[in-house]
Amino acid sequence: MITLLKIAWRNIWRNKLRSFAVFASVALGLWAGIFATSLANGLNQQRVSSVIENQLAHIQIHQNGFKENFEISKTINNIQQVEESLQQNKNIKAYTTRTIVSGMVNSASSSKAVQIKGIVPKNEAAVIDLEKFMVEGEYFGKAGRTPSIVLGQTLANKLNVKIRKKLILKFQDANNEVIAAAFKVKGIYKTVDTRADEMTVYVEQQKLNELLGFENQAHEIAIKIKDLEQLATVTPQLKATFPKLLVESWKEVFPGLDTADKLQAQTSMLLLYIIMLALCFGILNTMLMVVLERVREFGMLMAVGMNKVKVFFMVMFETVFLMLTATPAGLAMAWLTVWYFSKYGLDFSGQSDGLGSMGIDPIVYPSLTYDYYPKVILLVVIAAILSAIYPAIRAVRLNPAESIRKI
Amino acid sequence: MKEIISIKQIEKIYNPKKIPVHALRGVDLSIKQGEFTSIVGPSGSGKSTLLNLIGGLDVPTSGSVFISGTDIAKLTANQLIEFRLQHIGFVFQAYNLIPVLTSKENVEFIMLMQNRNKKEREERAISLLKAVGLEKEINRKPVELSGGQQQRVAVARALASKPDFVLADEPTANLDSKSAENLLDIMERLNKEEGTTFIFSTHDARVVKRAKRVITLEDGAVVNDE
Repeated sequence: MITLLKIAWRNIWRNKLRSFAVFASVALGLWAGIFATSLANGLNQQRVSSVIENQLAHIQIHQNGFKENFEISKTINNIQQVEESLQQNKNIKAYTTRTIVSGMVNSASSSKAVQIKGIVPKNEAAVIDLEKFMVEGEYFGKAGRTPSIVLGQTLANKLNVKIRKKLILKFQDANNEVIAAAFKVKGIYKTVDTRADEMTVYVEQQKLNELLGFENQAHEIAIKIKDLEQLATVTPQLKATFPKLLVESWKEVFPGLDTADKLQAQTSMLLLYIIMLALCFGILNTMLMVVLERVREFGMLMAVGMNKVKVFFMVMFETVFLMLTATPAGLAMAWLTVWYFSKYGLDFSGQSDGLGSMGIDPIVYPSLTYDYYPKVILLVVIAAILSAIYPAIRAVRLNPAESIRKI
Repeated sequence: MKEIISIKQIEKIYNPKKIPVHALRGVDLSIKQGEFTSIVGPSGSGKSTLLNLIGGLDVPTSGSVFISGTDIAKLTANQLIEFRLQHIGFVFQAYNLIPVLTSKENVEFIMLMQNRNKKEREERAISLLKAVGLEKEINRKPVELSGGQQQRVAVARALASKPDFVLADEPTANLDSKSAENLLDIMERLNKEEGTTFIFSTHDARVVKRAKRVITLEDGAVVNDE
């Protein structure tokens, strides 16, 4: 076996130019596949992270039925007891309560349909760090006579308002009475998700509750847990604690996001499979040429007593060596590229509007976990074996008596 | 002397169902241990076919080929490969050494396939290369050797497996006169001193001149055996 390996290894250096052409195609194919995967992975991670960290939080609690048509009266029952329970849970890092109503926001020149979120700014900041996205004004701060409102830059532009300008919010209370109230623009923020920025405004929960006639009531509790890896453990735990409430992880709140995450992972692997398949045909072609060029040699080997199994494995080893020799170069190139851009980012500012509407920052940081690389190596070995089968069969099918006379 | 090859009434027909070509017609032949035999004849006379049958590279259409007491027609393809490995040494016209192995490794290679131990392989490879006058070239690859030297390595390789006989197909065809004479000297010496049986297929008068027995084929039949 060692001699077979030795012969196979030396054979790949017999035609250096051809071998280097194969090495280059394998290395570049791997580099392209891995880098494209890391880019798609980074894009998706940023999108998921953006949605979780800027909108959904990790877990949400609602009164059963609230989300079906956002009925104002469906506030969370026994919210004080729920909050006490959450405060005692060691897995929870922070939580915040929200009052949510749908309504219209009117400026002097325009009006827009929005979701009005009544928040406790200090608690909200521990879950969703809106403050870091402020581009103008401040994140609530000291309230004046007119209550404060914080809104997204896209919406502010459409309403044509600036800091300290007044806006009128109109919405219905629990008795279907239309309520209108004036708010002063305290701050304008800009997250990467321009669509969400356009549809949400934030006011202080206390003021909104007053307008709605609520007393210490809320529609939503947004929870941030200490370790996101524990999501699958903490969510069922909370579901068991609050059986009469709707407890959902972000994956349940926004299933499309989780599906997109899984789909992206599968698409990335599919891309790599396609690249490998293309490489397989290239390698198959090369190895067929190798076998046809060495008909006499294979004939001689079988004539002097090398059995067909050994001939088969010799071609196999040669192909695997050919691909595996190029693999470290491809992996190293890919690792370096991923490392560099994961540190400094890849600037897609030219596409910022499109990316922003999907909640993605225009600076993309490719990302790839280390467990991906062994999978690639395994894939290379499988590709090498698959592409070697036919040439190896061609070699063992040679007739030694005819082959040794071939010129 | 012991009979090592016994051929009885063999016929070889290529393409029997379409346009049959009778390569051999009822050949009878017996070769004994220690012979230095040449098979000669014009192109198309059946030399290569006969050599293929003797070498276990092909099987006859009818008749029997006994090599060292074994009817090779009854062996499977894999058994034939193993049989060749244990009983027959080959020297080819175009040397056919493994280009990526050194002279020593080429000679050792056959013994490796016979699962002989490393010490025995090394000792025998060096001793055989000495016997063919290549003790200084043991670590050279075929591309670094002349044609004559490559053919001598091929002779050493053929002898490495301790075969019952060595089959040499036009061994001097690609060599200059000096190299050819030198190679024949070596094979003649091995035949005389070691009792190695050599069977040649050749057109070369120098080989025929040195042969102890010359079998002439014409149109697939033995026309002379002297």
